[in-house]
Amino acid sequence: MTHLSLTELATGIAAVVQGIALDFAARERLAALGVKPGRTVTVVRRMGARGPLQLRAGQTDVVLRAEDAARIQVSTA
Amino acid sequence: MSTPQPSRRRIAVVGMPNTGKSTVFNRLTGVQAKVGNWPGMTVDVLSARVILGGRTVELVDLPGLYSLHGMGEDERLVRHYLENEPLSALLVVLDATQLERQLPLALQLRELKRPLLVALNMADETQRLGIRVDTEQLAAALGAPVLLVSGKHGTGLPQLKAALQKLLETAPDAATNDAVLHADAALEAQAESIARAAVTIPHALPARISDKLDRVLLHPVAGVLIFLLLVFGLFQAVYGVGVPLQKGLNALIELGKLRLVEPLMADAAPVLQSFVLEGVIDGVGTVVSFVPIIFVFFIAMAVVEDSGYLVRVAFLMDRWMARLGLDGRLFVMQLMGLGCNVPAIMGTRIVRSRPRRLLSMLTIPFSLCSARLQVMVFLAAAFFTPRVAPLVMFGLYLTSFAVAFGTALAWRGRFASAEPFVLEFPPYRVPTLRTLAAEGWQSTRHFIESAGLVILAGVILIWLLTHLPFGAEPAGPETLVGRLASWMAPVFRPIGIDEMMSVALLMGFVAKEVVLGGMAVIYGAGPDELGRMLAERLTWLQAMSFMLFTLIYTPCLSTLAAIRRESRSLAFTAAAVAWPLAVAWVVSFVFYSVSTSFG
Repeated sequence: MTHLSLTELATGIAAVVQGIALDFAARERLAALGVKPGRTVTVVRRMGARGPLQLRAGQTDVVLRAEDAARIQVSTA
Repeated sequence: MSTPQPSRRRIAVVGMPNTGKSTVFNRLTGVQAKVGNWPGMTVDVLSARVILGGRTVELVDLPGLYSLHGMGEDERLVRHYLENEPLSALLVVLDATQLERQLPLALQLRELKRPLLVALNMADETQRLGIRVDTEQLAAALGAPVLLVSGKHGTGLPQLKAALQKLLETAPDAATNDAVLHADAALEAQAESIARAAVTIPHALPARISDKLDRVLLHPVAGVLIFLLLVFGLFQAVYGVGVPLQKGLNALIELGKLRLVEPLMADAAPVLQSFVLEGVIDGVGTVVSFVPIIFVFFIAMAVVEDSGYLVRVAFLMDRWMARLGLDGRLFVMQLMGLGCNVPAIMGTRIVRSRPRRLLSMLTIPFSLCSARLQVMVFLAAAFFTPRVAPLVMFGLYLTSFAVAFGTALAWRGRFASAEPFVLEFPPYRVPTLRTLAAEGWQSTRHFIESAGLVILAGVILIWLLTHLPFGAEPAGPETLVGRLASWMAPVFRPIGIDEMMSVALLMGFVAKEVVLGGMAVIYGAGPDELGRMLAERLTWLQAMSFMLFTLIYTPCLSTLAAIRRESRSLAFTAAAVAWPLAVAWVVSFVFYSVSTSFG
């Protein structure tokens, strides 16, 4: 099992969310969109290295900024 | 502290964003919904009266929210509303294709102990995706009736109405509820187990068309190019359709004025004639002339938003706009402002964060709109050779963007947004004509209702300024506007603008194109002579300074009416006048004093 941040996760690779070091507002919003510890997510695409990324969690896709993604820890099998 | 209102029955429609909640609301109410006036609400909340089983019921379409415990502005508003307004029942709209994620909201709402009805929208999509929902099991688990509907196609709507009616028969009278809304991890676990039991999702979902489209539309290069082409096309479509309609409508009003009102007023005193024809009718004409543009604009924006493309724009443009404290979607509004600032200001409501919207409302009026373009083209042609004039125009556009971006940079700290930048990417959806028409119609009506009177009053005020005291030459030095201009002369002299020109600027407050008409009146010249006369009386440096000032100074009256309506703040509206005035003066002063010191 490898631990890494979402910014380091290659596109198309499934990973499990381990922790989200963001403020309450962002954590609450992410959780409501299905991104929370224990959930499997994949990065669908990135808009360049520093641009936003499209993340898929179950049936839902979300877009978030790279600086926020850097604070989301995931693990791959 | 409940305040029962026995005669009122009110149902709030609640759901997450992108669930098609408003489509269901429109299906239930038709297009007669009105913006409700609720204490503490800074966004439009639509409400409509419908007859259910012989009884009048008020349906309220609350802003979409992800969670009752969320920190977003809409979430706060909805929480405030649910805690303070008397309600008989809640209609909860959930996206049936994402039930696992949406059920916690339904469970949170159940805590309010109000009768609940759950509508699972997007029934058509679940079918296509092969997702099966056991509504009976879900109803048992939620303790509320559950119905599959498709707001888009209207399926299940009669059953939904019948269920609402049944719910109301047993519901208590509308009352507030101060049940404490608490976060609960147990709710989440419960939602998961309910979803596991009641929802069957096929192991391999059919390949989504959205994914294929996104491969092209979100491509870092092709996607951005397509976006720019689409905005260009959108611009052409809105103003290509809207402007001829606007001209037609104006011609119609002009005709009515000439054929109908003028003969009727023939025997009236000249002052009264002028007041009715140039004050009241021109004021009404100004309001009416915006109607076609706003209608077409909001249909076009509804296509962009409801199709799911607008969120993609945020993805494409965010890298650049984030630096300005804005986001990609507001870039679209900045560009649309090049046609007309009024709908662009109204369009900022696509962004839910209030500080970000306000910042955008401060920058949009710097977009060189078509009304100002008329003035600029005329003056550029009067003062510059055909070879230089296009360069002058290009410089004005550059100035317009520089001032807009500079404003965003200067104020982004003051209007910092606390809203997390986490956006949902809904799949692409084809919007229905019904929702598009409803969107165009509602926006137009709200514009007339809330901005119409302000604009009319402003036009009449300018008429009074240019005609009082009666008997003086209109807009001459004896009138109020003339005295105002001579009083302000010390302000305008350093930037090379004389008293006559400043009267034109004051008149241009109503609408920028009036600047030209104003100058024609002041100089007593027809449109053909005006250019020549101006060129004789002013240096090209003065003309350039005047153009810069006209470009930047106050948003026109209609734009301000839109700003006041959207911001719901007089103080902010005042700032939206003061800031550009100050910038305009500084820019013109720097230009004029530097260039004259060289000349």
